[in-house]
Amino acid sequence: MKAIECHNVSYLYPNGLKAINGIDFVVEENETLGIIGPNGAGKTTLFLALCGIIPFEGEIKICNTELTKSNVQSIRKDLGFVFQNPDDQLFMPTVYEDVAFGPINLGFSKEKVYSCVKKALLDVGLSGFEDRITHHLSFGEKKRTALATVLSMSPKILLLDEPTSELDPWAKNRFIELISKVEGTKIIASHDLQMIIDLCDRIMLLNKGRILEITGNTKDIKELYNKFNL
Amino acid sequence: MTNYLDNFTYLPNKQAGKVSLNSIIYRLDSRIKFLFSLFFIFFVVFTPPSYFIKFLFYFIFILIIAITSGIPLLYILKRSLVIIPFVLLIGIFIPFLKNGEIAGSYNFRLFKVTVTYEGLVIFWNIFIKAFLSALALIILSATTQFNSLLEGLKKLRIPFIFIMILSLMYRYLFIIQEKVILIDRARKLRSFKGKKKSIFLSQARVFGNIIAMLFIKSYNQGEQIYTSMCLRGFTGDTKTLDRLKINGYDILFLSLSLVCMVIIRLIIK
Repeated sequence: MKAIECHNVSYLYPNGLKAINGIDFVVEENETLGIIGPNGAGKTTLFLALCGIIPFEGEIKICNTELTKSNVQSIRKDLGFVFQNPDDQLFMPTVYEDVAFGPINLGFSKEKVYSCVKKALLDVGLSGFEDRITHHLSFGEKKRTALATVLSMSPKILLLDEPTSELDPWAKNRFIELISKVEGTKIIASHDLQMIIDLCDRIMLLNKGRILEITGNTKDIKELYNKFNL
Repeated sequence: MTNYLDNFTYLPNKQAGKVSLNSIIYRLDSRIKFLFSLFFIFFVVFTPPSYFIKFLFYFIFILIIAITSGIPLLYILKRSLVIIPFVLLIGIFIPFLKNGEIAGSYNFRLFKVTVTYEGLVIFWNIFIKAFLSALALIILSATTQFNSLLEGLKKLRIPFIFIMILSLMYRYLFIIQEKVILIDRARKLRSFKGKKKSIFLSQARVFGNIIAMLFIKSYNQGEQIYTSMCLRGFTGDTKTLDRLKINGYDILFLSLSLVCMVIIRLIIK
């Protein structure tokens, strides 16, 4: 089954800049796709379009359902978007409430919410952090909590925007290990080429809003940059 | 390190022995503490300003509560000083402008300034009520973790939108504060006196830009948070968790406090 299909997807910023332009790609179920490219290539904009946050042109299908204004709420249940900056993602006072925010909105029972939160925190190695105040956590802990807030909703597709940025080497390795253990379809946008090599089945190279190449040959990732003079 | 409103409710402070873990006030349900503060403020506000003895008793009463809570008195008094600029702003001219029996008059060459008893009473009224209310709120915020206070407010049927605003404001106030500190640090590192006499004046424009930039940054942050909320199924509904419980001690505390306040209000002359 195809998890994501994009056909000729474009987005024009209000200032006239084309952030993404004619994007075409398909991601199979349980596949991990890495998106690389220079700053401002359109990686985050593409993620926002996939979640229906920005009004794009073209066609996006999530799990074989076309993304439209009317079904955007239900489609978002299948998507888990982890932001680059965890401070943008964590807005509730305690870790428990933040991780429970999604499951509560999905209408789960109190017991189900509790078990979802417990499992998500266990998965990210933050068991016992339930009553901690989110703004008192370290950056690495915030990152892991942000991942837990999404995992607690058991999304079919995980979108990770710069998951390892600003992490120390130990926290980074731990976070990469965590991501590798998460099952399902994953799209990872990052500048961390080694992580992309380690985790991804295919790589998409974006530049100035356009796809330059999609390849399954992840080993030659650095040569890709040279090939296009990036 | 950021100085949070509910600093004293966190473990490191408790372990350092700054506050008593067994304080009755800490263990009270947040709803009870909120209602206590609300009632206290009501009683204080509805007491006529000329009953000086009543205000003395209210002060003694809130002082006993403060001592019971185990929070250092100096901390509470220091925090209560923040109301002084506001009180001065509202009331400083009243003693000079209000008509009535003259308490004193001063001549400054061309100007003659008179102070009236009625004006002084109004100033006293504003000051003492603001001061006592501030004490009650400081005790409330210092002994209650902000999230449990919000949970209590939810249970008291305060509209969800207010609670959400409070929650986000409290959460992001400190993030913005940290941003201010970082921006200010960057400014200081690149600010030099040069030929200008006052570094402050030369930086006035820079401060204006910083404020504008903070406004844009907080707007962007707001957008991001809303996106994050939408992605996790937020539709504006009031779906919350339920973890607070009121026990017998809570009821007893509130009842006894109310009795004390009624005695001060009705019996003490």
